[in-house]
Amino acid sequence: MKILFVMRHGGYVRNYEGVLRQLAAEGHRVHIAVELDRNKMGEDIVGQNLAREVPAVTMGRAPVPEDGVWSRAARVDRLLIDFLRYTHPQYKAATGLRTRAERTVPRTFRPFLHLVQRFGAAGGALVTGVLRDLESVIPLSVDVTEFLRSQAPDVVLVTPLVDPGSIQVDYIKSARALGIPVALAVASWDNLTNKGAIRVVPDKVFVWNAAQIEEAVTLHGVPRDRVVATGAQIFDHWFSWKPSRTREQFCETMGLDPSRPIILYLGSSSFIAPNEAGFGLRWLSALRSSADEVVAGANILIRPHPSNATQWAGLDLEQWPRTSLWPPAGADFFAPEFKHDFFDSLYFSTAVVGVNTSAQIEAAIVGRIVCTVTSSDFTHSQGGTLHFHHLVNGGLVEIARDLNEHAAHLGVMLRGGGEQAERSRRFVEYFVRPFGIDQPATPRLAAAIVDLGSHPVAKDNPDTAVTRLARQLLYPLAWFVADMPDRRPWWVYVLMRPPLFLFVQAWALPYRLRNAALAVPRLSKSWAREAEKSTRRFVLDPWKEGVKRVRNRSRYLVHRVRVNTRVIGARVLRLLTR
Amino acid sequence: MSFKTITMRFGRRRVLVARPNGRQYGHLGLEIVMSLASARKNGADVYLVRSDTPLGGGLFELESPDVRVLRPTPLVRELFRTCISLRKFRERVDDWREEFREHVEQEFVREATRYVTDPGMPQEIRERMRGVRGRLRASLERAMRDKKRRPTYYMRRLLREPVPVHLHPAAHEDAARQAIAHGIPPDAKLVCIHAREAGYKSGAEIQDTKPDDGRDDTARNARIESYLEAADELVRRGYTVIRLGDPSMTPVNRPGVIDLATSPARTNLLEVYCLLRCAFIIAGESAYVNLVYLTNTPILLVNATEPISAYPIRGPGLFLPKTVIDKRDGRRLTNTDLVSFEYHRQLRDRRRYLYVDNTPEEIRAATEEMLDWIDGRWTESPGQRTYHDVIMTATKALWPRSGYVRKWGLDEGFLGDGRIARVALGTQ
Repeated sequence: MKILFVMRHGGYVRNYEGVLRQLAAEGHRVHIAVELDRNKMGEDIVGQNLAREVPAVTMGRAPVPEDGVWSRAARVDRLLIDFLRYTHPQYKAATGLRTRAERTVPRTFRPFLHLVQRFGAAGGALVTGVLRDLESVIPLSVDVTEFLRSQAPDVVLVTPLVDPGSIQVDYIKSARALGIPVALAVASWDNLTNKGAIRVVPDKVFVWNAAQIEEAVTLHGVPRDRVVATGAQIFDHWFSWKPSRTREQFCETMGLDPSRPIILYLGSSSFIAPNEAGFGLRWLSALRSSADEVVAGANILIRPHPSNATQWAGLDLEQWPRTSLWPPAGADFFAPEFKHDFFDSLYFSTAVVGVNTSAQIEAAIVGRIVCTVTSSDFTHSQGGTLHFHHLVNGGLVEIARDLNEHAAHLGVMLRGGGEQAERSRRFVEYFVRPFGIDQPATPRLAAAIVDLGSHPVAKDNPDTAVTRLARQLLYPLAWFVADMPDRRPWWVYVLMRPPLFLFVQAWALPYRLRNAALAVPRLSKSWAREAEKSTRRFVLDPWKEGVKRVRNRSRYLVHRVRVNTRVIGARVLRLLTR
Repeated sequence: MSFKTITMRFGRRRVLVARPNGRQYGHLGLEIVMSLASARKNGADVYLVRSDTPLGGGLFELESPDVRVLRPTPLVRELFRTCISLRKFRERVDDWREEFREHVEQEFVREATRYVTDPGMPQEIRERMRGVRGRLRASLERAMRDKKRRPTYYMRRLLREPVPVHLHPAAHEDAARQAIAHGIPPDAKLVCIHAREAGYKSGAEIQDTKPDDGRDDTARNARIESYLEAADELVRRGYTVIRLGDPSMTPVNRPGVIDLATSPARTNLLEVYCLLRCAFIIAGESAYVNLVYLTNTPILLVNATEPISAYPIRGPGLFLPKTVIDKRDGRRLTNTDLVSFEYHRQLRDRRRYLYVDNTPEEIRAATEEMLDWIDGRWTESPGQRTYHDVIMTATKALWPRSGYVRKWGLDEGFLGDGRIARVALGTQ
């Protein structure tokens, strides 16, 4: 079987490495097609290494839909749908997510979105419905369809699909039109709640657990029978890992005191915690000045989020004894030694602290629950996101209202309380391995992909008579919309551009006629001269004359208005003074 | 943007009529003192037109021995109000018309560019459009030059010389009574403190109203807890510390500190009374930075996000910048970086910069230096002198490029007589 896996960039290979290896081991061929070359944090290298190691896996670029009126209009349509999903009542408190989604929408369309928002969830749902219908009018991308034809896969997978205005929608549409089964592999725990919408429903959606099934059904309108839970394959290797060194060796490397317990701070991404280092200093200060000696004297290890690490680099942590920042700024977080450091740091820590990050799930696998504290810095990213509730509902986090309460929670953890093992195991069964803690997700997902590819699916017809008619009728709108997202005020599109366009075209017409006449190669020189003369006589001169007359006439009219106003004014004045 | 007043003549008497900003407390105080200073300079009386908001009631109770502040009859008051309203209306219409014209011209230039660069357009049309575009661009450049020539808003030179003020007797008596009720002894030595918090302008700050600008004024916020070590030192030296602010702030419960901000009986009059009486104020970038020039209160400005607008006009006056970290590379910005164009281009943009509050130790050290200055024991260090020269040079260089610096920076070559706190130089 040939599997085509379309990814936003090579970094997603990390999430599916085990599955790709398993598929290859089963004798299937996999081609990874990435939309973007991205190597900021070594994203592409993982895929390239995999392709080098496993001959059945290849990697290349995915074509981007050709530029044109429809593709540009499609992007706008998708961005609007992505924003409008946040009008759903469940997102009432999600101000941060809404603002982020709004920023991706071209400015010109934002007043329209604000207007729709006024009508609440019902208005949002109605407009989203219309926009989804418009998506079906948008024609298939020729380049994408050709690419799929040339690859001739038995199954197409896309991930993450929910990026703002994603072009992976075109892959789903083209695959369905060609009769190739297509599925969305949900890449992470937050993908269905805090990114864009699933604008076109694929044949299957592979999710981790029951909670994500509900999200796919209620938030994205995917029919329940198309959603398949397989567990979180991305964490499978965590269940078999062992620490790479002894506790003493680990503490020596990190500059910590091995005789004291370790509190591990797990950093969050820049969206979740944009000013995390500032909070981190307050947090450190609160712990070090805690009345609880065990908390105040504990080792503190800070592990920044890979994408949000630089802000920590400028802090002077030397003033805090037994405090370490690891990996240091500038390190490759995904280098093998740092991956093991991460496991070791969780394994040897007694208490874990975090705001809202997937590393908290990894902590659960290692048998730790996570202490967190509500702070105004994180209002948008804790209560204001839906995926944080998975941690809360799964009983993984110990939430404190302030830093004093938080220090008290840590004190309990450091003394061996908090039922960490039991609570983290329950969470893992709920969220990571819903089929049993000893049931890995990788074989399940691989089997689900193979199963999808072995059942033929009906072809979609994207060119029905109704669709073609609608396409013709909506083309002017698409043309208008496609040209709009260039960050100009709306009145330019309505009041300035159309009249100016008409004016310039009318102005250019005689010159165009003349140029056309001059350009006819079959005409002899004299004919050409004659034609030019005629053009001048019958087109250019009357045009100039006409312009002159209109100008004079309008000047005269203005003059008359002025004179009459003056005369009437004088008469009124005379009447009043008589 | 500049603050405008009108001067009216009544026989030989001249009256300067001003309507200070009624929506922002700091601007209100600043515009009152600028009106008083202008009137003193021109030998005029002053009439201050109050806006409909109840903001800063205590400030309108101030009087000055140098300038007569008029409290006219209702009829005359209405006359002044009408005059200034008409003037403001005319200015607003002019500004709006100017802005609209510029906006249309700008957009027309962009539209014309579409045709100029369109190879399918006949050459003659492209030439003509290019000509039109050139004329419009010249007009826009002219308008930009005119804008740069406008007088600065923050009249630092005018504010350099204090205008003596006091509360009028009835208000003073009332304020003194309130102070005693709050436990402020009449003979106590006072120091005020204020840490800007998010509650006062919640939902109405620049990041809420203009989210695309990138400016985030929460960068100016700080935590009152970091002031408490300095407060303890002041109490130890016999001062009573008054915490100013609004009721949404974190309450402070500390020996020797009177939390006026969260007191249910707080009034603006009492706040003005405290400002007039106190030896100095420790405040962040908030209304008090401007208000102190009206009440003639020396200021120690802590947690400053940039040194130019924060630069104290009068001495004694110190400022202490926050630690700023560039999130792109984790680099800690030096004091010189804080006056660079690169930094001012994305000033208070928390997506780019991380603002770390001053530590309690830094604030305490700066407070001790301020006490030395107040007591006449302070001498300028070579580092402070050098930084003053650096900031003067940098401000001159930034002036043509940054609207913010034009508004808050140099005024006729003068920035201020204050200095950066020594502790800020020590951390570099």
